[in-house]
Amino acid sequence: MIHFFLLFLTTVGFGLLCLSRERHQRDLIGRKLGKSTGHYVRWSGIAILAAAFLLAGDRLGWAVGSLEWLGLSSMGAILTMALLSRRSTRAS
Amino acid sequence: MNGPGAPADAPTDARLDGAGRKVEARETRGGDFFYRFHYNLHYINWYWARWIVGIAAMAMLVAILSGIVTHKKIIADFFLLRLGKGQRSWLDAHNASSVLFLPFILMITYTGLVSLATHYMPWGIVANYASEEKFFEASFPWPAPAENAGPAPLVAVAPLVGEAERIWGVGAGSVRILNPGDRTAKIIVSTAPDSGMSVRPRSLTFDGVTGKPISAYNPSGAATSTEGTMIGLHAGRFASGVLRALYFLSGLAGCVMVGSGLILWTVKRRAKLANPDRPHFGFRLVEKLNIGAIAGLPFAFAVYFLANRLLPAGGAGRSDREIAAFFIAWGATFVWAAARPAARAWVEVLAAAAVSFALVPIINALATDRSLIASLAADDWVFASFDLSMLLIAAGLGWAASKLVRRSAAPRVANGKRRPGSPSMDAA
Repeated sequence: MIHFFLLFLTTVGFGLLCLSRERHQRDLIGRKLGKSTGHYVRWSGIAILAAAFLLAGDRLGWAVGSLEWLGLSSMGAILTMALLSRRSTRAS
Repeated sequence: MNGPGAPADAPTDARLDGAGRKVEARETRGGDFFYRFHYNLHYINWYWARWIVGIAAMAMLVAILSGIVTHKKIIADFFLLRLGKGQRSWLDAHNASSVLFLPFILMITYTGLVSLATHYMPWGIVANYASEEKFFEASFPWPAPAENAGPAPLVAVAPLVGEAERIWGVGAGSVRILNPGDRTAKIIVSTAPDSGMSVRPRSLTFDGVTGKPISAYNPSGAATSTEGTMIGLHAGRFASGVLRALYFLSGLAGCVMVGSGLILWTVKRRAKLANPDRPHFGFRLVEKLNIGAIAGLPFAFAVYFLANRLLPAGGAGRSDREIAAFFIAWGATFVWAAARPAARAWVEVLAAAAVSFALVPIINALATDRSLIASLAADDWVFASFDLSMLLIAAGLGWAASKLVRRSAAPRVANGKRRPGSPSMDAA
């Protein structure tokens, strides 16, 4: 279950990073975020990814944990990308 | 396992199943062929093969590193995937697969080079060891049995394995017994391949009569550990199921990166052709080679699996015939691509690959007692996930083929650049 939770965290983390990019905000939530909100979103994304790293290292050992974190980060990012691509084709 | 007439010390080898019975397996190289092929190639001398592979891997590493520097912008925009937009979509797919999986792609390229580093740069060894044998003795000790000195009963082996595992704190993988039943008997216990990230095993040597530990081998110097861990990262033998799945998916992303890059090359140049109905030879060549490399290679994989299951179990040189089937199938896709219009050839080779992959689980069900349903019922996930992967790959290839069929059937109005003779590879 730890693996699914880590994948969930990395997906949310990259989702927030994606949301913090101005060009994607309209596609994802239908409106622009303010500058300070954008910053806030961005740093929460980074914080969640960092938390996932600490959790992976703590639970799986730092060697395997950091590897799995990298792999799941790629998966989280590609899931985010798929979501964004889906939402932007629907909008256009 | 030799017959009663054979001398007692004749070399024997046997495969046993979990219950200790002898198994007669068909002669095959199985997945080991793909493993060797990826750095030794085939049909040519392994020494030069490794140089070819090394030059290609170094070119890839240079391309990755220079690509990161040149395209800093795509790293910021890596969430972008615009589908159904022709060249843009291929570029996005290429960027996404390479940037999102950059950690894996960098790691696997670099550690691959490290795995064969002593092949490319042997001078450190040459300068420090008088001969090849001396180097292997020091790096991979493999003690030879001593002269027999008279019979003595062998100590119980299982407790020694347990003791070794207690000392290491990880599992043992292999036991080697020198001169069993003799006073000079020795028992060497080595760590399992999945006991740590480094591929260099540790071992303990016990006296075979008294069971007392004699010596320990632990290659844990900084340089050896670094090298062993890098090769271990590349080989992934330590990895759990989840990590192996991530390796597999990341590897697939690497294939998407290469495939989309190759297709992008032609899509980009087609727009600039002077006469797109009659492209020049260089363009056609790349287009046809792409078909064989991208769609033909998976077809050949499936044919190899089918040959493994369908060739009769007996007969000498069976494993060579399986490998020949792989190369004949692969070569045939290049011939097919050369003979057919590119757009048709894409669809046909992709469809053939999809059908062949779908056939593998069907043959498994018909010809063996390991059908997908039986594996699922027995909770045998090794066999079940293999069959499921075959079906998934078949579905993916079939989807690609059907997408292309629909593309070429649709009226060509999108940008006016598509031509009847050109493959509709703008489909994303």
